[in-house]
Amino acid sequence: MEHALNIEDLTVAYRQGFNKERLALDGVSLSIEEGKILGLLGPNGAGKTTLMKAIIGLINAKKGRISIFGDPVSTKTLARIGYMPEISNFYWFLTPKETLKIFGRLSGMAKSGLTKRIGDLLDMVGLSGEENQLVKNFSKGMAERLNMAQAILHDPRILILDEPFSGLDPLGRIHMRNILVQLKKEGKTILLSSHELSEAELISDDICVMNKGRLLKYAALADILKERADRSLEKYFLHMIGEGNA
Amino acid sequence: MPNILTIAHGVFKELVKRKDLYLIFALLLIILAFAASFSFGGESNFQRYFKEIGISFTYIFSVIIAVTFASRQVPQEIETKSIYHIFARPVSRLQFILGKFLGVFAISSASFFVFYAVYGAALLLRRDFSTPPMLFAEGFILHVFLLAFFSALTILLSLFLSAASNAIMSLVIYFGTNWFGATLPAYIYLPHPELFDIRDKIIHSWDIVPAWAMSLLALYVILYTALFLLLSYAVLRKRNL
Repeated sequence: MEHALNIEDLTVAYRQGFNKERLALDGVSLSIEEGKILGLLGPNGAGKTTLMKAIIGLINAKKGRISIFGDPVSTKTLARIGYMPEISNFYWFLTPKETLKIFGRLSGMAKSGLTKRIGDLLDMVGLSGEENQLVKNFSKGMAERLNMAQAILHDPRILILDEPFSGLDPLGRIHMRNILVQLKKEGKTILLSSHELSEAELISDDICVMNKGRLLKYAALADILKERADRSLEKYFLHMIGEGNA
Repeated sequence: MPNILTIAHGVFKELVKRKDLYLIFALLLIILAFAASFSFGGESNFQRYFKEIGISFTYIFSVIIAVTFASRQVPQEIETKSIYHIFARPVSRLQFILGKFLGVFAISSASFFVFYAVYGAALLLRRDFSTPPMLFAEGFILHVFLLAFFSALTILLSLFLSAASNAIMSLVIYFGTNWFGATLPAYIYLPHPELFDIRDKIIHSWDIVPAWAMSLLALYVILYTALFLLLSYAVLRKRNL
């Protein structure tokens, strides 16, 4: 199977003061097969968000190589990626319809068909009926749904989702999970980070555990669970990051 | 180009929906009405006084719009992280800067157009036909040049300063160069936005600005605006978001 995303020896350092640097990612290498869901787990500060931002090009890597379907990441290849950042802030004085129209145009989508696509998407994420409301009046959960809609708007082949379940109520989580399952069925490759281990366990094919900028484990979920008699991902995760006695 | 226009369109659309513009416009109307209600020193003095008050506030308010809107654009996007949605798409950082500039320039110029039209209408209502229409038009064009200059300068400064200090700094540059001009230290090396201000000509109905001078001023503003925007791009390009 073709690798949708390939990362080799990725190192990212944040400057601290004039001469000091802090490694946020330390030689991370991983590949995701097309059509799979990779759950990225790790405590706060593990480097999950940094990894995602480096893939998008929001931060500059010190070292390493990132490619999408064999092509090095560039402004052009971004058209194949949908990114859902952890914090879902939009332009307050625009409606979701106007917001998605702007993002659609920036993704290179033709005007014709965009309105229909936006209508379908708002329906899919449960925001139909809210399309003419200003985003500033949205609740956190509604903003999160809009965040998901903007990520899949241009029908990207790869989705990078940073904490897609945060801020959602139980019903919202189920809805989000169903959307992700549907997207997987459509053949999308998904990289998602989550603190919700149970959610990650329910939808991921593979699991990647990170801590302090390093990749500690990358394996199929089934294989990870086989390693433990109790088949608990939570305990495995705690053990991997050195917090559990199990 | 489509990306630049889309970003500019988004900026324009959002700013039009804010109350700030309408508040400033209402304030201008109040000031014009207040100025028109005064009467002293004979008719000709009063005409000049009204012309001066009107054009000064028309100019100043449009600069305030350009500066306050431009100072918020990039830092706000970075702070709220809404910039991620833009750069997760095939949009370069140069396109982003140009789009933001174009949006702010368009909204400040459009507001200025409305302010200037109201001011012109007030002059006509007062039966003041002393300013040659060509000079009046030049006053508009040169101030639009000035709005481009300040929109670009403020976007550049916004990459280093907070929105509030940036707005203050930009306005200090505007008023400083206008009020103190050649008395400023190192005047010759500074940019000269005061060159675009032909208020005195309009107030006193002097001669029009010759075409060659207008062309040179256009070139001047294009060069400075391009310089400010390219520097903004150079700074943003290196920045981790």
